[in-house]
Amino acid sequence: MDNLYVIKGQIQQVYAKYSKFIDKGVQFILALAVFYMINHDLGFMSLLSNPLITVGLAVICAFLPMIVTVLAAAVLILVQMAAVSLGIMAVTAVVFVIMFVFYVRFSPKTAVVILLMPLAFMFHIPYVIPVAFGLVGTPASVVPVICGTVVYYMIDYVKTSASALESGGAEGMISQVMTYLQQVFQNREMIVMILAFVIVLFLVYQIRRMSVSHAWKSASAAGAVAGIVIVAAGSAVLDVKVSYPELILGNVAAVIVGLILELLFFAVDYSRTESVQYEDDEYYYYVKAVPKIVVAAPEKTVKRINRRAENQETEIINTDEIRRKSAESAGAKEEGEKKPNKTGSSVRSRSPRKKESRITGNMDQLLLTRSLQKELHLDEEERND
Amino acid sequence: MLDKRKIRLMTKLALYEQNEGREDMKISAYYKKDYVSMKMIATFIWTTIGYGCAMLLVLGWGMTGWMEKLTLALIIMLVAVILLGYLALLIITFIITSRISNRKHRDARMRMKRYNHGLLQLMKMYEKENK
Repeated sequence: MDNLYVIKGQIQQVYAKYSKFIDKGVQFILALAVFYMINHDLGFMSLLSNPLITVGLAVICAFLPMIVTVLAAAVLILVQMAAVSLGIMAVTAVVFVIMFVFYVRFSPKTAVVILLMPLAFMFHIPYVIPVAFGLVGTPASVVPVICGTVVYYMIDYVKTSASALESGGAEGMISQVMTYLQQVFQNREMIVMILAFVIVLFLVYQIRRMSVSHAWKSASAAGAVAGIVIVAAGSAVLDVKVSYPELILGNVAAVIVGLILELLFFAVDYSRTESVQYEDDEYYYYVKAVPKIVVAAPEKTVKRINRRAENQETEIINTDEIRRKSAESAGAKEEGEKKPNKTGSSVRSRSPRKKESRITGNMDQLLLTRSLQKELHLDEEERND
Repeated sequence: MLDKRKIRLMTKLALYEQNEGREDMKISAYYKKDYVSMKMIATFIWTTIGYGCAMLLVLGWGMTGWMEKLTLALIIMLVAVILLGYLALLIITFIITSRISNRKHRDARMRMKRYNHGLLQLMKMYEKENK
């Protein structure tokens, strides 16, 4: 677990260092994914569906505020829909105006959630968004989540019924518009999803604000379970076809994202929780203090102690000389310690391999000592003494 | 010789000018009452447009279904409901706008005060240097 916190610290350090580039990169990837999704699902205008145009548009949006990406996505959707039917484009434009008037105008910074929702649907993990925004957002996040869901189902309807809509012609425009409105706003799957997302978001938000241990983990798990139950029940009651493996895997993904968010934004150590009680003239206070986990990323400093300096700072040592000297000294020592044998094979009887390794060990030690002395200027100090 | 205190203060001021400062300067150019009134007018216009759009969608949606069965009494009731809905929406959006814009103006004024205080400090530093 400590490793995770170290990684978190390292990520924070990297982000602090390159935040400008990372922000732009994330914005570019998000814009690219959104524009790709729109062009992939509604690629009725071949010119705009060109990958080069998609990438170019994403690059431009990366250098502008996030709200521009949202507006560009809205315009792209409208233009692509205009290629199918002007009536449908008009209805979609009206829906976008309503979203702008009642939400985006008040909170332009969170408008990006409207883009994230269809994107999450594309990756088959829509349950991640309400859990994530229940953890890090406010209950107001429910509005962009609903708006994003509506946008996804509008795109989905046009995608699946494009051929029927195109063949309608100008005369059938009114009936097209009415069918579109009925199909989108009476879509039972959409109603079930919106209901599930709203309940999950509120539930996750309420649980994570509770003063209980592991509130964030409990909130994520409760959100996922609630998501599964509501969607399953809704599909049974309203007779909606839901893919159960997708539902379960999507909610598992939501829990995983919840755990990652907890690691990033709410790292606390519940084992060191302290409860304090005190009073003043008016109130009794029951305070629960949970310490944060702060693990500083270790700073790696590499000190080269045996570098053959390019600029000849380190002394070049004659290894043959040292090897010879150390062999001589080792031989002399052993001769002095051991009594002379009658057979005359006192030292030579030992395995030569063993002796050689000892000499090498001595040599390495000597080399290391000399290098360290040189590096730390100990030799100069000795000389001065 | 570099004056660290001055550099810190100047950096702080420049950062504020580049980020929140722009918006704050615009907001604090108005009196609170004027700013809130201006926002209310904008809200009225946008809410009317938004409500009109929503009603268009509702009418379009109901054109083939329940609208064919409407009688005169039902039409009058429908119009009354639409108007009441409009009024209720206006009141809600007015309350939200009033709260948001009041808070925005108060925060912007506070930040501007701090900014002006910083500018004064900087001016004093320059005066000290020139003496």
